[in-house]
Amino acid sequence: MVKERILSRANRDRLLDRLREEGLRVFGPRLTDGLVLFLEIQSASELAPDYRNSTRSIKDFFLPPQEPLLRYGVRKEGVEVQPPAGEEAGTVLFGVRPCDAAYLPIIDRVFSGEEKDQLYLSRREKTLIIGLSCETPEDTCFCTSLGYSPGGSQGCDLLLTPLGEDRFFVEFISERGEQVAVRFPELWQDASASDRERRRGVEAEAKASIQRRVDMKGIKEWLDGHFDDPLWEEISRRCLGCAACYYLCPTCHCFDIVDEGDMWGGTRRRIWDSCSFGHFTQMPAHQPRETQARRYRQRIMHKFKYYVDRFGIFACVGCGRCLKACPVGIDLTEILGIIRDRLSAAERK
Amino acid sequence: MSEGMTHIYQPDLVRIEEIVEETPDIKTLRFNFVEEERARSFSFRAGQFCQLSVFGEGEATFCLSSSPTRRDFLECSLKRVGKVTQALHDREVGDIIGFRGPYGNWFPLEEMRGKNLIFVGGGIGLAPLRSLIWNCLDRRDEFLEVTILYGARSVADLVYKAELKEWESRSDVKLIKTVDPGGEDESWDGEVGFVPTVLERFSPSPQEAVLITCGPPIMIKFVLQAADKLGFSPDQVITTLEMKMKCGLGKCGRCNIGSVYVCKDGPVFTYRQILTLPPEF
Amino acid sequence: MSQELQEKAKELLEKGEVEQIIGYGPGTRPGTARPVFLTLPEESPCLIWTPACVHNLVVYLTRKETRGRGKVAITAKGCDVRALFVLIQEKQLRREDVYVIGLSCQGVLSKEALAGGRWELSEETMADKCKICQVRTPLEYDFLVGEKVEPRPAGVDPYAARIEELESRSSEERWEFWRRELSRCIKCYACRQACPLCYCRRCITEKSVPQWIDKSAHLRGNLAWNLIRAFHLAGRCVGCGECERACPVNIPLMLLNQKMSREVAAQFGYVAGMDYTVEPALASFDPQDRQDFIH
Repeated sequence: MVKERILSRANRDRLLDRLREEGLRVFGPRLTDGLVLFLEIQSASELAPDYRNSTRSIKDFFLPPQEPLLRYGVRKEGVEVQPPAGEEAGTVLFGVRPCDAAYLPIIDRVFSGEEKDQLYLSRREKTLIIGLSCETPEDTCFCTSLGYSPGGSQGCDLLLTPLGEDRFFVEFISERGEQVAVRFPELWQDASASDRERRRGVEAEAKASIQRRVDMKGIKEWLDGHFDDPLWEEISRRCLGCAACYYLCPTCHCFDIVDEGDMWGGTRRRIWDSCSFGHFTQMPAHQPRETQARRYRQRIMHKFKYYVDRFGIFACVGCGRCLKACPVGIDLTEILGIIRDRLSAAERK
Repeated sequence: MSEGMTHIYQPDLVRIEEIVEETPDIKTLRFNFVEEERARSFSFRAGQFCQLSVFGEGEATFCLSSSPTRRDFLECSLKRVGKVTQALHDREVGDIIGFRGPYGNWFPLEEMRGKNLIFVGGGIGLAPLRSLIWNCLDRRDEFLEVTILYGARSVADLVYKAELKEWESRSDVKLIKTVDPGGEDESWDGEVGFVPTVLERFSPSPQEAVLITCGPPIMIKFVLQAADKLGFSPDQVITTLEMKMKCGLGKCGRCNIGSVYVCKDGPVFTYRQILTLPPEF
Repeated sequence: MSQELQEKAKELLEKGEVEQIIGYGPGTRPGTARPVFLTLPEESPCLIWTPACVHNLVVYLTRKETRGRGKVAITAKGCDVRALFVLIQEKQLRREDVYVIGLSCQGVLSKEALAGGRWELSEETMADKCKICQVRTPLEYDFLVGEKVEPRPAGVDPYAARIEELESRSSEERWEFWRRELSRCIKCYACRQACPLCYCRRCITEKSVPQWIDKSAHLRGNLAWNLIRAFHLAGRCVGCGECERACPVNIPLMLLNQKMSREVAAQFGYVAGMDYTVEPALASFDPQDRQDFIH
């Protein structure tokens, strides 16, 4: 059982080549049009040299913005319906930050259960996640407040932690990760005690540098009792009602099913949707979430109460994309902090 | 379906066998599976719903309004209110549409045995109740008294007009039909008044009774209040809720009321359960 | 300048001249600003006016949360006031419904500057739209914060250069450019929601019978959305740049909108948001209008 090794920078490059040679599609963070996006790479030289996190999360690979569910054709003889082709090649996501990787075990719960969503699960099975620990979190990062870490391994198959410029400490987290160790034995070197020490140090330093902190204790219970509270109007007044934060958020998973085509042929697709839009709950004679305040409440409640009620875990990894993306400066950590203040004030009484 | 990935959002193909125009804007479609094997193996329980689709137009949610005891066909009654319902209204006998289901929970038939049943329906809300009504009438001796209180805006808006007559003529069913004030015509021989008002007027006893209601949200609200006034405990009152739905499986995130998904944890709820939900429906 | 602004705001609320003030306050991230909504005079110290105040607050004027609450005052830069003019022209608001606290403006920071933590206003950090600004003093106001500022002297027009360059490419190259840019669109509609002139209660994307614009975020759906929005803004867009700033995936929306508005200027001699007493160019017809470009 291989658990830990050292990977030199040169061998990291070779690892990516080997994986590609096996027929896998390798995606890594690339700088493009002022953004960092996970795009297919042909060699390690295409990787963004220095990045904090990708603009869009790796959610795109498991629940893409749109995907075909079926193609239909209507003929005189009848209706023919064709399911989508399964994806052939396996995928490697290289350089995934620990917060992003951590979203997978959270959202897996939605797509498994009694009815298994094969579209999502088959991609999960075919994707190797190679995580990369953070050395310099951003001012928007708050993973530690949710119990995660810039050096955490949840959701990863392998986790790389940089030890200086040209070496990585590698941890093989899952069975799939361990198989990578076995498949390419020539790439790894033994890890020493001082390597281990350094690896812990990188994580500790990164954790300590995270400025943005929220005390989540009691937040869920406050939400349990404050469905009707003036807070919702106050914090959502500036919300424009776009879906930028929802679509960049790895743990937002809501979708719609739409038909595109005419009466003779076309495609039924699953597409992203967001509870920030009025149409999300709009029925012909009834609209339960008339105002943006109610729709914003749904966002907070879903992530920090409803998801906990159903699955026992917050639907948030603290990646901070929502803070960066919001055109009007809505700050989730500020909102959680306001709730925290109210709790503290009540406790003091 | 040809080769490819199977997944839970794939519809079955069903063929429309009969169309009944219930009202100017409500039709009942009777349909059956194209694949015989599916028809044979399919079963559902009263209260469950399905996603019907017209290819090229989209999918929408409908309760199954036929009874599970009558296995030769399935029926849904649909009000024409938007894109998909218009497309379904435009279908003809022989057309093929998509079907996904059955989804959701069901009416607690076993717990209703040996009780007096009071069905309270309004408008198109009679559709899910009808599945349960026929289910109970097909097992009539398991229940005590059966009362059906049904109303609509006007005489023309009453659904299942032929069945209303049938229920009226049965000696083991008490039918109270009503139309909203102003909705009556010269030949109307039923009550006049909103459904919750008529319910209070008839004041059924809560003793050994279960009250099952469905209708527009505002009607349900007042019926629940009326039942409360009449002395029904929240455990004795059952309803079925409607929210906008898509997947039907608790994955798309759309139909929640608080922590509950109407498609998975409902659509059937007792009033007791509803009292624990946030007021967002 | 912030003090002048805060005192005026306090006075307006104290005297009951307005019931609510929409302005800028400090954001929670260093160096940023964000919209704030005041109803009490004692809240006025939170108002600021800095080069980080990039948002077009006029977007909030058409929302029902604002409409129901009495007369509103708004702090507005020249570009924001131009958007207000279009709303008045299109009968969405009356001039007397809004108390305009005009902000004389030397420019605001670009999206890149703000993201990169560069908070000093300079030629390099200034937003592109400011480099061609003719309304550094807003065209109309009820109160002006700061001294009047002359329009920017003619200089490099960042849009003209890029539009010209694009138009010099072959149609295949241009198609490839837009295919690449618009493929990134995720249909978050941040562009629409941030735009003060996208105020339709039901957007064309929400109309389903028929579904004019595919909702999916594939190329066809993205092209349909972005192009229809550019067309719906033609002759109306005032170039405030909020759409491009709000876009989380850096689509150069201003190129599209600037091209359209320059086209309208060339064909009709009309620039949106400069005078609300005239008829909008594309909403009115005169038999004398040029028709030679209709083929």
